[in-house]
Amino acid sequence: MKVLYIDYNMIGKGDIIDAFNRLGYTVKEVKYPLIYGESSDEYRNAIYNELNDSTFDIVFTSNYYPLVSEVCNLLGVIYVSWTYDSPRIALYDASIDNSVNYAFVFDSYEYYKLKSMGVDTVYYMPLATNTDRIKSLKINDEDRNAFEADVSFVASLYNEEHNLYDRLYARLDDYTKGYLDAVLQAQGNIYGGCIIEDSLDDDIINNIYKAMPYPIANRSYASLKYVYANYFIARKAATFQRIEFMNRVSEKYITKVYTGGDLSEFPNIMHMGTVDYATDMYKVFKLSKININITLPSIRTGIPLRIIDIMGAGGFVLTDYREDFEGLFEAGTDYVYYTSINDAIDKIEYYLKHENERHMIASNAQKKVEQNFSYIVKIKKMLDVIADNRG
Amino acid sequence: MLLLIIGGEMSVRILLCGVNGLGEEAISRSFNRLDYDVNIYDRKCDNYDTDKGYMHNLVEYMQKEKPDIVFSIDFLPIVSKVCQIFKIIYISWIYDCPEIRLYSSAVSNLVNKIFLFDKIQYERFHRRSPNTVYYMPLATEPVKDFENWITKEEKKWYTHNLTFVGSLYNEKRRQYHELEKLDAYDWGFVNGLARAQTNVYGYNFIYDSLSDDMVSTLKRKLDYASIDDYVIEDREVLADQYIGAYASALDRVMTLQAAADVNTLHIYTDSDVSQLHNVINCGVADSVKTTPKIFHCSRINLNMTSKTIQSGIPLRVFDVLGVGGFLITNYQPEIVEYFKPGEDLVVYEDIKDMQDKIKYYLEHEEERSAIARHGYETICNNYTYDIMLKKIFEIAGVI
Repeated sequence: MKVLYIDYNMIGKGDIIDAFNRLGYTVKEVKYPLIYGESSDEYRNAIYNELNDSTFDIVFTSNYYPLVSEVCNLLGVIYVSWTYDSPRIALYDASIDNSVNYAFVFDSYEYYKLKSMGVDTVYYMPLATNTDRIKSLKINDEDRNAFEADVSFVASLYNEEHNLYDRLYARLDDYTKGYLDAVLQAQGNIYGGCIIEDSLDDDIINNIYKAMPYPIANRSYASLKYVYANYFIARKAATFQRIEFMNRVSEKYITKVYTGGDLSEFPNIMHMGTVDYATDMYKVFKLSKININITLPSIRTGIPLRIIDIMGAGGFVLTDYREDFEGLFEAGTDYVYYTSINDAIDKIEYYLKHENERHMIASNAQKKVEQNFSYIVKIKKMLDVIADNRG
Repeated sequence: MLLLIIGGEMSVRILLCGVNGLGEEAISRSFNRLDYDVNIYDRKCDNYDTDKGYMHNLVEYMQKEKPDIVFSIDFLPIVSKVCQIFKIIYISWIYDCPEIRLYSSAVSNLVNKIFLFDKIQYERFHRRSPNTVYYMPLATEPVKDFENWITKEEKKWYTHNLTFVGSLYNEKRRQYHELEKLDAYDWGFVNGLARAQTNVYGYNFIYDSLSDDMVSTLKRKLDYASIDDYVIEDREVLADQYIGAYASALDRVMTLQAAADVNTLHIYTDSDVSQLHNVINCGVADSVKTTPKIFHCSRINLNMTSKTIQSGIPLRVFDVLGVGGFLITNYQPEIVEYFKPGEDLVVYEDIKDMQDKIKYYLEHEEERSAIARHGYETICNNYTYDIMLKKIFEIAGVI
């Protein structure tokens, strides 16, 4: 059996290819020059030629790509995608219901939403990590000096200049500015869910559209509300929420933040710059007493990859709540969740003092991840789904 | 501690200060069943903080009658002040939330035993006045003899598929309408915050979402008068009296419309319902004589809790269940603490969930009746006025 892995510079490439190999598949890896846009003619031709020249049973990509689906659909090749980005508007492209698709998503809310719109090519699959690889990373004194901390946070702050929200905001009328500021404030106080999309009524969407029109593709399953809520506003909400959270926590505890954003206004936060995803990030997780996760609001119920990675590294997770934890991980046993900044601070206090409990929780989670959240387990499950469907 | 039982024969004498509120008559009947002597003081009062006529009259009454306990639903500062000089215990059981009078300085008078039904509100006020503020959920007076209580004609008249009894909170007199005069940005902010709040049950984030700057801007523009003797932050006034009330109004209209989109909705109200479609306005129902029968007969009763009640169970829940009615309600933390969802009543988590549940239960009569019956039993065994008032009197240290 042969798999074509199309490389879009996505996380987990080596792990996914390795998992296919160990399941007895041969994998060919292709990568096309970045100068081609992902829906360009060059890209289409390259994929078409590749699939036409030899026989592949499966094409695989991390994240869903409409163009890949279209070519696979034409040639009748199964297209498996596993989306870990959120939001990912491509999932709402008209091509999503192509029958060759097996579009796996990690957010069960997104799965049910697409299902309810009549799309039956989507499947729910939580994300994975490679504990073997993490365990093989050697930690030396230099690492300890660099990464040991009471509290660590590895994340994007989405506060780059000229971000979509700031560009939009400058063009809005006063009423809509006030409205969105309030929704951001409200979302900033909510840990465990997202109210942005549901708070945007048609009149507000119209005002936003007037200021910055976004062309929704023909036959797309996405609405303007989805786009503005998740691509424009949710990221801004994350910026607010993350910075305020880190600032408050850093007033009491040594807090290391690994991010590319600008934190110069917050002298208590130890701004560590970005961290290498494949190696140092896992060392940070392992060497931090408490690893904070603040889920991006556009992830409505899913467990973010960050959490699986922290657990896989044997780190202790303190996160906001998401429904998909139910049945997969147990609160208080595998991870701990907070419902507000104050609640998080109380829990940091508690778990810094209770080292044994902290270690126990981290080790429970690591065992679970090793058993159920390895790439090989998840890829196997995907192949089972396909086998079930194809009879 | 006051010695209340004077001699063996005489029963404890309660003065009930009437405010014409829901449940007052039922509470007075409950006092009788519990063997208290009840007198009702129902002189009209212009202002429960300052009405001197009411105060003098009450003082005269107290001098003459010397009741052992004074009771009211709602907290009446002027009554508390009078009780304080006579050293008579004053029990109040609040079913409004927010109750602005709880900010009165009279709250800390040591004769007070103030019972709040919302745990979050209780925690807030208990912190301010730990010696006088207590927690107690509300209750109802269940109907015992259904046979003789309702006629066939009434049954026919009040049987609807889907019913809501209550206000839309949109009356012109309501204070929050002043928000409409704000500038575009601030009015937008208020709308965004209120609309966001309509999506969340069991947590009110309005207070936490108002920055210091926004509080001072809104205060300046709304220019509301402060009340002498009241200790209330501007942030609280704005979050509860203005934006919270506005969010509740938005929530009611949206939720009722979503319900009416599923099935024709009968509304008993004195509010203007002209903005709703597929509803039948049945006018105001008499809360004592008619409302219980409507609750009893309707296939599905709806409850949506005011956004200013953060965790507590509103009176409507008890009243519907106490007459054997079937209820679909929004999620509130204390509803699932005191009742079993799916056994005593049905709880929805969002609008879509409510619509699905209305559809489902309209088609499943047996399940509906079983739930209504179970809910009624739960009330009779746990949440009657007789049971709860006894608890109140125990906590207040008078029995």
